Order: sequence, then C-alpha cells, then structure tokens
Amino acid sequence: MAPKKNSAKRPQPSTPKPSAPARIVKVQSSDGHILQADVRALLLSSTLAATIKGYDDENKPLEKLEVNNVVGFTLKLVLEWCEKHKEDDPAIAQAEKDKKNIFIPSWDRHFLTKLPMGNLFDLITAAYHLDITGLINYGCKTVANSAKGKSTEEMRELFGIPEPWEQPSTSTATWDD
Amino acid sequence: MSSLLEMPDLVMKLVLGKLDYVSVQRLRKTCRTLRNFIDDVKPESNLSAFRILFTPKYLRFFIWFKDLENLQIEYITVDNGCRIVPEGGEYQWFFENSDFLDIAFGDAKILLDFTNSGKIQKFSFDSMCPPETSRNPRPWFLDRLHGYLKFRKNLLKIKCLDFAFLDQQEILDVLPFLEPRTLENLRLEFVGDKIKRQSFRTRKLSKIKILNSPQMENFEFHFRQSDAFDKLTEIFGEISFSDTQYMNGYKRHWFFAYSENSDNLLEITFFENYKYYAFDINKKPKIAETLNSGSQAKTSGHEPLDPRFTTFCAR
Repeated sequence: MAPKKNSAKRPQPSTPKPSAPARIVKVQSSDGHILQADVRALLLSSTLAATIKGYDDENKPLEKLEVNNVVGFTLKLVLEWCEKHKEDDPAIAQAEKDKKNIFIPSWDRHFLTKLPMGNLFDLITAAYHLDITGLINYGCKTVANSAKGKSTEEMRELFGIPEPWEQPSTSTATWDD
Repeated sequence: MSSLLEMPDLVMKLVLGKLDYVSVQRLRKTCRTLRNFIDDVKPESNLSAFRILFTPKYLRFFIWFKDLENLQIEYITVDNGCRIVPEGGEYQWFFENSDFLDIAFGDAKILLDFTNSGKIQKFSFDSMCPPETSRNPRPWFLDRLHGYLKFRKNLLKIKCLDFAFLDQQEILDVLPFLEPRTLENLRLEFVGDKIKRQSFRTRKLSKIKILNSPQMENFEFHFRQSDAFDKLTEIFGEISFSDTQYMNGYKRHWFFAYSENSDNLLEITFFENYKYYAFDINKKPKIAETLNSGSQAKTSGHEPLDPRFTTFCAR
C-alpha cells in the first residue's frame, strides 16, 4: 500500500478541551440580523478579538457584539467559516499571507467556490474589515484560481468589470488572447 | 453584486500576489482602473529564466517561471506587419503595420518591469544571425534594452548571464546595469566574424563592476577564429599532453593558475573542428573535479599570461 502523502502538511485540529464549555455570544450585523457564535471562533478576527478582550479586561458581561460594516448574509458565511476553523493555528495563516501558491483544504474549496463571485468578494471584504487572515488568504487564492486561464473578456464578465477596454495596445498584445 | 473593482486595495494586492504572470497581464487589460493599479503595484512575475533568440526574420522568447510554468512566443516579421505565435496555443495574432521588434521589446520590457525583487536564474541572448546580415535585429533590440536598463529604478538581478555579442559596445550596454552582487556565472560569446583587438577597449571593460565582483564563480569568454590557434601555440608553446577526441576532431585544453593569490584557474579550450575558443575562469575546486574525472588535461602552473588574454578576467 502506498504511504499517505502530505498527511503532515497541515496540523490536524486538536480535540476540543473538555474542561472549557463553549462560550456563546450574540453578533449583530449592520442590517440588524442577530447571529450566535462561539467566542473561540470569533477570536480568529483580530478586530473582534480586541473588542472581546476589552470587555474581559473590564470584567463587563459581553452580551452582544455589533459588526457595523458587514450585512447579515455575509456575516453568516464569516461565522460559518470561523466555526470550522476555530482550532487553527493562527501562525499558519500568517505564514501563507504572502505566498503565491497556497493549499486550500477541500472543505474551504467547496465552501468558497460554491459562492457566486459577488458574494465571494463581499466575504473577502468582510474578512478584511474583521481582519481574519486565513479567510482572506483562501478567498484571494480562490479568486486568483478562478481567473487562471481566462481571457481578458472572460475576466471582465467573471469579475463584473463594466468598462469596455480600448483597442488593445500593441505593446502588451501577446499577453491577451 | 460587488465587483472586483470595489475590493479594498490591500485585498486586491493579495489577489494579484496569488495570480500567475499571464493572468495578471490579462487582468491588466480589462480596464483602465485595473491597469493603473497593476502598474502601480507591479506584482512580482516570478520569472526564473528568460532566453531571447535573435534571427533576421523572427525573435523567439523562452520564458520560465518559478512555479514551473513556461511560455514560448515567436514574433515574426511578415510583409505588412507582425505575426505573434505562442507555442501550443490555439491563438495567433497579426498586427498590421507593426514592427515585430517593437512588439517583442514591449513584451520583454513589461516582463522585466514586473521582476523587481526576484532573482532571474538564467538570462540568455542567443543569435542565429549571420554577422553581415543587413536585417540583424540584435543591435536595435540591445539598444532599446540599454535604454530601459539605464533608467530602471533598480539593477536587474541575474544569477547566470549567457550573452552572445557582436562588439564590445553590446557588453558595455548591458553588463554595467546588472546587480553585481547576484551575478555568479557569466558567459560571453563573440558571434561576429572575426574578433579584432582594436575593437576592444580594455580600460572601458575593466570599469565594469560586475567583472570584478567577488560573487562571480565562473566566467567564460568564447569566440571562433580561424587563425588564432597558431598565435596561441606561439604564446604558450606547443601543447604537451594528449588531445581529447571531440566530434571527429580534437578538443585541446590549457589550464593556468590565474595569479599567486587567486583561487581561480583559467582554462582555455580549443575545438579544432569549429575553430572555436573558450576562455573559462573557474574556482579551483570545479577544475579539480574536471581533472579528477579523467580528463587528460593538465595544469601548467603559475605561468604568466599574455595581457590580451586577461582582459576579460573576472578578478
């Protein structure tokens, strides 16, 4: 039997610590939708982590987090992603930030490619506002992968770029098709 | 629905950073906003090797990227314009009243413009033009390249340069604009008809920093000349070791210690069939390997060299 390759490529999520019960808080989107999330998942967002720490430092009860720049539909996707990745080591996402070729795990590939491009852009923009490095990485790589092999015209259609371009300039002719 | 154009700049930069070079260039042509943004960011091309082949009727680019993707493109001059043929692609383009050199240079310039922090492993200029041809595209191309390199915001980083040249000016147009700290291997090949001593100004060449760089591991100077062998034997004496068989002729070697204090050895090789000469300066260990591997050549010790042969030495 062939040995399993790349089994050590990504660290496997560790089993949740049985001693720490999930701490659930409410999260409110910019259009008033209220969702629920595990604090450990929210900590993937540097922005939300700072807010949560602020509450904890002052021993104030955290009842509801308001996310003013993300709508409910997108926030739900963000929270779903965070829930799936709450055990991840943040150092991995940081290391992948500037890499050209990164490996997108199958769950994420399925999760991101099923979205229409416009929703994917919204999700990446939300991840940017909330500062979730791992989601930004996978999102950007998914956009890049979808552009690969496409002609200029196909890219315009795929990415919702309305402006028709002028006549191709001869100096860059070869890179177009 | 959001458009790519509405993404925050930082996100756009990350997307561009994860795209391959050709996709970036296609995206660059979708609209003005993206073109300006991409020209501003200049995402790294990840160019690994670039070979330009000059012939009187066409130029061929061989381009390799670090992710193992590669491209081959031919720019062909035809009666009323230029035809562009990428290898393996189903598309071809024709540009009426356009010069094939203009288009080829434009593509090369953009590729080099997007190669800023990265080091190009190998850059080669090959020529298949007879020296006397009136339609030799090399001088024109190298002149434009010189103009580009001169005003580039940083020196081009090349690890290994293979440069076929016709006169000294071509060397002077390119070499001084390369980063001396990255060049490790330099191969100059004279592709003209006959090398003339008066056409080489050694003082000018000696000012090129790159030739004195401590990073240089290997320096080669190759040329073809029918009457040079007699002169070589005049200077160095008759060769006293058995010659190596090479392509139904002889390949003859001389080895010289370059100087008392240098690690380098000068190797002169003469290919009888082709009247072809190779002057190579190597670090000693590399030569030692050659000697140990059964070559019949031998080191001739600290012999003084005729100054004309040290002109191009790396140290």
